[in-house]
Amino acid sequence: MKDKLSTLCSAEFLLSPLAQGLVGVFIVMVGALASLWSPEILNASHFFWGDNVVFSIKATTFWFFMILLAVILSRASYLKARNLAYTISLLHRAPTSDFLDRFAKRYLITNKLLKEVQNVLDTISTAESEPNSEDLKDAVEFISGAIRSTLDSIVHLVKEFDRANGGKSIIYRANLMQIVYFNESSQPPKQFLDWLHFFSEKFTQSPQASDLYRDYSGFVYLFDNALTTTTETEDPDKDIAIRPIAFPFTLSVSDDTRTSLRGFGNLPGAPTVVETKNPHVILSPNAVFEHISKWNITSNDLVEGIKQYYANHKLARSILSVPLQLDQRVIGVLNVYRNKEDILFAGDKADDCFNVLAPFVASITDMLVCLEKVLVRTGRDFTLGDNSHVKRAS
Amino acid sequence: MLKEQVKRCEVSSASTWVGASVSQQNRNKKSLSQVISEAQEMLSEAKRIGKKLNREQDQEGIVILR
Repeated sequence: MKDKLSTLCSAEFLLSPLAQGLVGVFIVMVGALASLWSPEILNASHFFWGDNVVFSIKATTFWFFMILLAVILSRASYLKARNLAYTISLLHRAPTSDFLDRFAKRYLITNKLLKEVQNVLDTISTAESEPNSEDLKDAVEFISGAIRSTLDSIVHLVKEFDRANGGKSIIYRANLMQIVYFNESSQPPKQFLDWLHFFSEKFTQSPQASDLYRDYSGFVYLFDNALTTTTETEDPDKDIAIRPIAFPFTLSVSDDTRTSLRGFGNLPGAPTVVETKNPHVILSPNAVFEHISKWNITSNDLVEGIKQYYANHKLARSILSVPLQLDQRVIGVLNVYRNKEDILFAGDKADDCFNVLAPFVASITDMLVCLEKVLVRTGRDFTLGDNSHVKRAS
Repeated sequence: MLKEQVKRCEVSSASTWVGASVSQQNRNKKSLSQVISEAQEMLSEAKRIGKKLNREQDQEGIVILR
């Protein structure tokens, strides 16, 4: 009985042509009853202005059908309105008609840039004599520019994907964070640990810089703004609003077997991405607060410091973080963020967006590897996912 | 007849790949500064196209039904 009633009340039935036709007939029928039984209905209606009640089976039948009709029409209207709202929401969330066209053009550009980057690296690798430092510097500049150009494509694709979610005035930014793993190398030099300690002050519980190596599996950090960009500028320029920052992370026991690890939880965003090797979305600063409230820590300073950082970070109210992987190893983290909460429709469109970004993420990973190889030729011990960025930090 | 066509197709396909390879080798003979200079031109072109696409994206119609 209940199943039959829910079928009759369902959108599939109530909005079907057959049901709509029957409702039309029902309306005419109730109108006809009103006309045929008008004296009885009128007499029975004396109740409304306080006269003696005259019970009439015809009037009662009429009012029963009238109420039933009102319920059916209300239900049908509600279902129509709900379906329309859903359709409008789908239209809002759908990328624009030219999205695929722009996606293809942007990917073709990225592909050409990647080929040029690889060609530059090949030329350096196969050169008969050691390239001069000016050429190497130009090569590094070019590859960094190609990476920023690809970041620009990524940040605009996310913006286009997100276009009905907040308005045109929202500013999107992107950066590529580097990673240092402590467990696979000897203890990093003091000046690098000092740098990490200084720029991760709010996020670590290690009292001394020298404790970082003991307490954490590594750090994900942004050394400078070389690999950043924003929609605030027309060209894929470096984002001048970017400041250096470092976040500690702790890997699972299977990935880092050292017993000295303090085992704090990882912050959402880049640190979580390094641990899980999966994309991650922060929808608002409150989501970070909720996350850290589950940590089993006694230091109020740490919690307050993190809260203060995210509460004051006006440029990044919601963040999309994607791992850059090479042979199952995370070598960097791509962050795309905006100055308003609920990026990608509160995360509803995140999975689609990750799929759209996948070819760009693969290209940018290859470009980073090429950049690393050229940087090594320049004499800077730059290795992705290693601790040897020290010379850059010093 | 069909075999002949397939063979011709194979030869044609192989010659295309060989052509591409030779062209790549010729390119590699250029000096590093020349290669970087060409790459930078390509980057400028990529930026120009990217900028055009960004403008197009920003100017594209007002969101309907909003």
